[in-house]
Amino acid sequence: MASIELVCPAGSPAMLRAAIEAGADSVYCGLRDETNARNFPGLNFSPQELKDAADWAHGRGAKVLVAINTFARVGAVDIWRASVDAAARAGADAVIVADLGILAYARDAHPDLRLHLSVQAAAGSVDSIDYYAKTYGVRRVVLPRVLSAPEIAALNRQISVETEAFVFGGLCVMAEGRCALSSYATGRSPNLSGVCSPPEAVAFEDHQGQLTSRLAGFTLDRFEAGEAAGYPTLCKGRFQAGGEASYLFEEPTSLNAMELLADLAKAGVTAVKIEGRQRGKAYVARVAAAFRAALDALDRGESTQPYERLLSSLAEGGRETAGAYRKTWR
Amino acid sequence: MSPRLELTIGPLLFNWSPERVAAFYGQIARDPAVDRVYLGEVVCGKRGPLLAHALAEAADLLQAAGKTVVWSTLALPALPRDRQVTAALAADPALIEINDISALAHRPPGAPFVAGPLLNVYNEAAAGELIARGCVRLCANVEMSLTAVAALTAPCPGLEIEIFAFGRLPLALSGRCYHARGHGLHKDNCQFVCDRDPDGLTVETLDGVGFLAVNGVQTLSHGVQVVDNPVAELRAAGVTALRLSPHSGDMAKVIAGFRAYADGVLAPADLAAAIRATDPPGPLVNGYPRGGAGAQWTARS
Amino acid sequence: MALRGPVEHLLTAGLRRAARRRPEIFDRLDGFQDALFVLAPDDWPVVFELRPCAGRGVVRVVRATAPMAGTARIRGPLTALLGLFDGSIDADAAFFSRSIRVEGDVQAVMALHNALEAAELTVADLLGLPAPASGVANASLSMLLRGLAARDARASA
Repeated sequence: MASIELVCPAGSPAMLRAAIEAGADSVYCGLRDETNARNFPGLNFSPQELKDAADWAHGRGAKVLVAINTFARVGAVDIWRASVDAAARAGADAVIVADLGILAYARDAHPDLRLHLSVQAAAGSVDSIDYYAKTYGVRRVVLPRVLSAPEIAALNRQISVETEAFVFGGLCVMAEGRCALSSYATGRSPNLSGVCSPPEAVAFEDHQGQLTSRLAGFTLDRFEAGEAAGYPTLCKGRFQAGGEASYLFEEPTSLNAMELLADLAKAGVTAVKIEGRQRGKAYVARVAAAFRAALDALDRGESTQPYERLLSSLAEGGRETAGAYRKTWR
Repeated sequence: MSPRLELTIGPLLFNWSPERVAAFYGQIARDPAVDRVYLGEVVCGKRGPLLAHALAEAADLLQAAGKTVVWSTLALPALPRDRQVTAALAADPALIEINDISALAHRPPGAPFVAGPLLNVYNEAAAGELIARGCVRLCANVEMSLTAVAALTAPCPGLEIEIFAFGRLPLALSGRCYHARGHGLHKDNCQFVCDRDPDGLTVETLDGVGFLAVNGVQTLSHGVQVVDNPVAELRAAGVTALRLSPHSGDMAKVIAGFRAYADGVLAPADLAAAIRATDPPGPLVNGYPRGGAGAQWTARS
Repeated sequence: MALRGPVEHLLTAGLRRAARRRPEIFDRLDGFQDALFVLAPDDWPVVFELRPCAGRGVVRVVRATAPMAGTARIRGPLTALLGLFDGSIDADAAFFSRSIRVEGDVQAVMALHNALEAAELTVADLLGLPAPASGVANASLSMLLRGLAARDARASA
């Protein structure tokens, strides 16, 4: 069995270097504009930084994947096309794309540039993956975080392209690219603007140690003093339905599927992916090192168990889940 | 004079009983204000078999009454059974509505289809890709403002445009069933508890403010969209049809209200009052068409 | 607050030096260059007001009891605040554990964190010391601030 590729996030050149030095095989990053799905203030790369970073990474045998994974704004599609051009010029090893129009552009304008299908395209079935592969020449699909490990195995038996699976970090409970909760509350969303639950709509109110988080005026959660808090991501809020308050959609947990690396390897995934371009170099250095050690152990035929609890202090609300990879999650 | 703005009835998103479904479409068949009806289970493949018979009978009835009937595909086909249903529907060259790209894998080249609001078509380039494959009508994604719709239609001549004009907004889909989760059940043994909430289960914030609604694997808005832009604005943006999403309130009155509004008989400013009188499941919202947050409501003056 | 003047001068000079060396940090700050950030170490009688303003940045030390006027206030243990802005602490993790609390414009705080982290600036850089001395610098800053706090506490007693 071939080694699994470790794909790590880079929100800045410093974070890219930290990820590769800690053992990432590939990093993914975006340009500093609305063409990528982590369009946060202060984050991401200028075209020149991207070029320098790609040169640096290639010098160390690592790959750079450029996320151009938002849906192009109507009438402004040229900005997205220019991002594809910039990635090609920088020597990117692949672009990660979701929009049908941008996939077509990359296919036609840069036939030698490798195309990966972003998770934002929500392609989780044999038929949709086949369609993207045949129509646009997509070579790898980043799988939605709603599939279980056996489902991924079944999928890989029936498709001809590589698959990449998220194994650590933030956990979308909705099908990515099919969720407008954020724009319903705030006017901005992953599909419209490359952000979810945008920070400018977030407010915290600390009242005698009790912390209330709000998004565009909607109360998302309330924490007693000392209780672990989470960034107020809409789907991880505490809500009332049928008279009962609960984390209806998802607890403020994050994904850690390290214990399932062996299963994912058996399921035939080519690459595993760490979420969190917005989380900085301290985060990526720790996560990349832990997953590097686990994947190396896997390659030696050893258990990943010794590395599985290394990362829990990084988790949202201090809690982790193996997510949809275990079918009971549903 | 341009033809009247079409009124269409979107696919029923909720798990209603076969009796309720039959009665609902019987009423729609008799209503001359409606031009087109979308049928089929879009949200959850498990519900499909429950309603197959009632929907087939409804299709016959609606067609006999002169309505255009368009079958809609599942939004998130996952199981092999979902895929089979989608593939069978897509292979039929008759007009269908596609709600997931997977249907295109089985669509005969050039066979006409409607791109549903659950597809990610946000710009003219993406629309162009679908038009090349046979797309004749686009029901705009609910996040798109009317300005964005106008910018999309300008370079796509001949593309019919439908907008989501009435109903709780379909906001998200998940692999997880929130109705089952809310009742402490697993999705695979859900007991179809979603049938208890004919408009979805209202989700409130901790402060008791209505916010969202869950409907099986789907999350909707609590607010009820009412597009009330001046009709001339809609036409200028290329809009040719208004989609009304089925709810348990007085749909005959909803249809009558929108028909009068679309025909210029009811002023946009009076549409809200007409809709409020139909017992909608939440407060009215109209933020998305104005380019704002979907949950906002701005009254027409 | 006799020590306030020298501390403000030292911190302001350090900030401006860093700005000259790494001007790209201000590109990243974008619309938040003129924002006023209030850093409030827990259990300290003073807070730090930082306004980046390209090369004309200013750091001020003010009483914690003064009314808050900043774009955003960031509260937490001093070590967490220092770590937050030199990238040695993962901001999200610090926030999740609630050791860091943010009030006001959350977007501004994210921009500052992301910009400092991307520029690989540390508190040592802000004080103009060589990088290997950063531990020492943090410690000496900490001592300086503690001294200031002690004096201030006596003065106000």
